[in-house]
Amino acid sequence: MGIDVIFRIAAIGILASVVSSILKQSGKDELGTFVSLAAVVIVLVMVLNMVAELFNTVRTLFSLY
Amino acid sequence: MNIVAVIGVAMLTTFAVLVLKPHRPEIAALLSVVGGLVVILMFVDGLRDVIDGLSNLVERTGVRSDLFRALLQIIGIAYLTEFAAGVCDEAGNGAMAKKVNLAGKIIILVLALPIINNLIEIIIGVIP
Repeated sequence: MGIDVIFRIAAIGILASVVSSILKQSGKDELGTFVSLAAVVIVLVMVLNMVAELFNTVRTLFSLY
Repeated sequence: MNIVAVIGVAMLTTFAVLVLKPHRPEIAALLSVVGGLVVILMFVDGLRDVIDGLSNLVERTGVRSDLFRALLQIIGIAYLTEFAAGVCDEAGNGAMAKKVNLAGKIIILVLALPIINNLIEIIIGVIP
């Protein structure tokens, strides 16, 4: 839990932009948008997991039931 | 729990967001949220000790425990609202940030009512 999450998400972002630009060059534009969409979904799932963890921690900490 | 780790993560996230912004602005916004989360999850344990210490203090001094619980809830809600508003602002949606702030204030006001009533009762009791 820490810096590796940040690196992973940054890597996914850069990979998505590279792959989508390559696909755009080779003429498959719609595939490129699918790839970047998939990347955003993956990152969103990771972020949601972390946000859920934060909310649970804060809920138990401040007895916010 | 040390400040150096917090600063390191903050710097790292800022530059990673800068790198990612021109290519993938949406993932950059998500990255800044994750950076904030990592920083918070670092110092949450320290917060737990503070709250335990405070609750012991409250028990010993005989303050009404439900008021202290309401106070803790207010602090928690204030913090969560500020976090959500910050995320909305960071992503460029200022209007949503203001709405979240407004909602947080109203909820805190509702929670503060019993404390205010208690205060007034005490004051009335003091006046002869």
